[in-house]
Amino acid sequence: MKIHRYISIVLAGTISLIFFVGMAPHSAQEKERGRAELNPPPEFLSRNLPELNSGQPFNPVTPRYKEGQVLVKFKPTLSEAGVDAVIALYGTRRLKKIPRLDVHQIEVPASMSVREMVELLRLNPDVEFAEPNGYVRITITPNDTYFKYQYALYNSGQEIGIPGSPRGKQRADIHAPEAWSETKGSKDVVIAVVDSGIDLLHPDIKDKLRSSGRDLVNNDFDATDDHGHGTHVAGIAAATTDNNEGIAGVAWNCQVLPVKVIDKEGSGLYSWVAEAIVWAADNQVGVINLSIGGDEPSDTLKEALRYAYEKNVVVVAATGNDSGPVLYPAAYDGYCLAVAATDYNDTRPEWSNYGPEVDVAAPGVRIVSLVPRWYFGPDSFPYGYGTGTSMATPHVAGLAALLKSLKPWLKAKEIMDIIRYSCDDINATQNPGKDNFIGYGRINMEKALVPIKIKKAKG
Amino acid sequence: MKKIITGFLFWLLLSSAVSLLTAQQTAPTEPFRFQFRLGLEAEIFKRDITYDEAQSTTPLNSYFTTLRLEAEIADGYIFSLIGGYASSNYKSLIFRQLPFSVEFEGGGLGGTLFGAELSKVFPFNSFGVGGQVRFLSYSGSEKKWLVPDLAVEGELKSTPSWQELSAGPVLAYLGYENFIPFLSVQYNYLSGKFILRELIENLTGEETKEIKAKAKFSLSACATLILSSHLSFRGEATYLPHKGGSDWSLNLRGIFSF
Repeated sequence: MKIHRYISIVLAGTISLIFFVGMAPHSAQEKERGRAELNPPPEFLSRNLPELNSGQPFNPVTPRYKEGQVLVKFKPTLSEAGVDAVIALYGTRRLKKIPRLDVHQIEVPASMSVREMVELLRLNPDVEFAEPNGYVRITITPNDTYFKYQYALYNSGQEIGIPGSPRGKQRADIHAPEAWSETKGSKDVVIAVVDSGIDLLHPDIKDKLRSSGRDLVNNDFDATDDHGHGTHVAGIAAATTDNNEGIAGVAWNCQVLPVKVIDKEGSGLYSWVAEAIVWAADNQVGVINLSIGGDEPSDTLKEALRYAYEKNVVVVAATGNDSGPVLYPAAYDGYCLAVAATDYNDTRPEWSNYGPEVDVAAPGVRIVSLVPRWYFGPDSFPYGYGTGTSMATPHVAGLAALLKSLKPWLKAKEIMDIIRYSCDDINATQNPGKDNFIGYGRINMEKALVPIKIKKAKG
Repeated sequence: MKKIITGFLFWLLLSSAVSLLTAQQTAPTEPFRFQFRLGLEAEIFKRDITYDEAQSTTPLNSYFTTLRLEAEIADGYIFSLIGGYASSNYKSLIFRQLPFSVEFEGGGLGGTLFGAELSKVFPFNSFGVGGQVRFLSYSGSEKKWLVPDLAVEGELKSTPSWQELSAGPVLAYLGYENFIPFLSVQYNYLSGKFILRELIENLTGEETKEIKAKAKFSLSACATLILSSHLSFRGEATYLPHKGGSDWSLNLRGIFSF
């Protein structure tokens, strides 16, 4: 009995260590930075900052229309020569004609503004319509307030946090907006977040929860998060998206099932984890996210993973954050995807664990997501940054859920292979092909979900 | 669809029989002479096709060059065997059942084309009335494609095919000595399959697209120019209207008689 208790304490300690490693940085320097990261960024604390509280959808800073040109369509009664004559009359020239639409793109004389030119053309009885040549932007940009900080989903090279934060490398991201044009997921696909539970009433995820889940720590069915880690992880995978607040989840429409295996001190037992995996698999989830890990190999965990795998559930697990070998259960490579971390420049942070079991990588540095409403104190904004492979993993879980939604007939292994093979090999110059650090590379949702164009070879 | 085709062919047979009886009453019969002719034919067409249970549409552009062996198998009944090379360009087909979805824009896909045609025109004063039935079958060669931009190598294999059946009455004017213009309204049915197989490491998949042409009826204007007793040329332009657009085809053929 004592031995069992001793083993439990050791394992619990191991998991809690991993957990803290997942949330907290390691070096002294990083610890300093980590304090800032575990605190809410200033903009989250201050509700008076209008640019953050306005609830306006994210809009790239582009002008509304192109200067120096307008679009005009002439009435069909006007011949081609007549069109040329009218254009010449305005002292301008035709830049292009849009085939089939008979809409002309014409230059605006230097003495006039676009609006003036449009108004002038509209007075002409031969003109059917005239308008500025407007700009379009990517259409599927969620309107969540803090989407602009989610460099992991769309990295425009923006500052990744408050002014003065580092800037990301353009398109060092998982190409989420492009993939959302193909699918935003199905509510029939459920992601089980096996972690510290979820703040069940958090406004940015409460509508995505399938139920109050399962609590293996207290052996009940109320997986309320009393730690914080699980809420953060769940938000990355599937926060309520396009709701004019908070952040966007990778899997817009998929549901979340919280399964609590980490107590408020941040520790959990392998047995809880194994039971949670089995319970989730029996409850028809499509994906299980394990942003947890331990140093000890465990046949129990392996069996639980195999059980889920044979039930066609995709399991994704964090590799760990201590520059060491891949943790368990992520190391059980055949049955789960082991996820390493990258940052906003598409480089691998040194602390991301490595080994032949690493399958893929995803952004895991300064990732903004949900925190429980109590986390930063009363009336604080329930959002904050997290760093670690714990944060990388739910990006992959979200992608797996979208694939399950789009192609429900695929086996777990096929989905895992699609995620592996669709990666961008971002360290190809140093380690071409699959390597021990980021596996096949940083995930690319667009390649995994959007049809690949096959074109006739030129020449 | 089979009922429509069967009904249409029955109607064609009936109308031909009526025409035959009428012709026999009005025109003197000539002794039957078995005759072979060899022809060279080229056709180009554009057809809007649907797939995924008519949810998606794409144009099918095709051309073929064939040899044609014609024989008058009975009095005025001309039977032709057709065989040659064809190329079909499906413009854009989207395969979403494969592990990795694919938007196929592979351009022209070469293959073989075989077919047969039966026609008969009954003279009636300066006019000729009859019918024509043609069947074509295109079988594209299997072609391999590399899947770009993945972390591993992968390939696709495409195998396209289609069949076309057209049948309908023909009205010809026989008043000119060496020039025969004629019009034809035809029922036209084109359907086929496009099979795409995917092999990316250990990921495999196969998806078949059942395609159907949107247009079902066509109007053709044709003319035959008889240069000598051994050589004639024929041209045919066909218009195929359908809901939301129209298709077309052009056919040219030279016939050498022995």
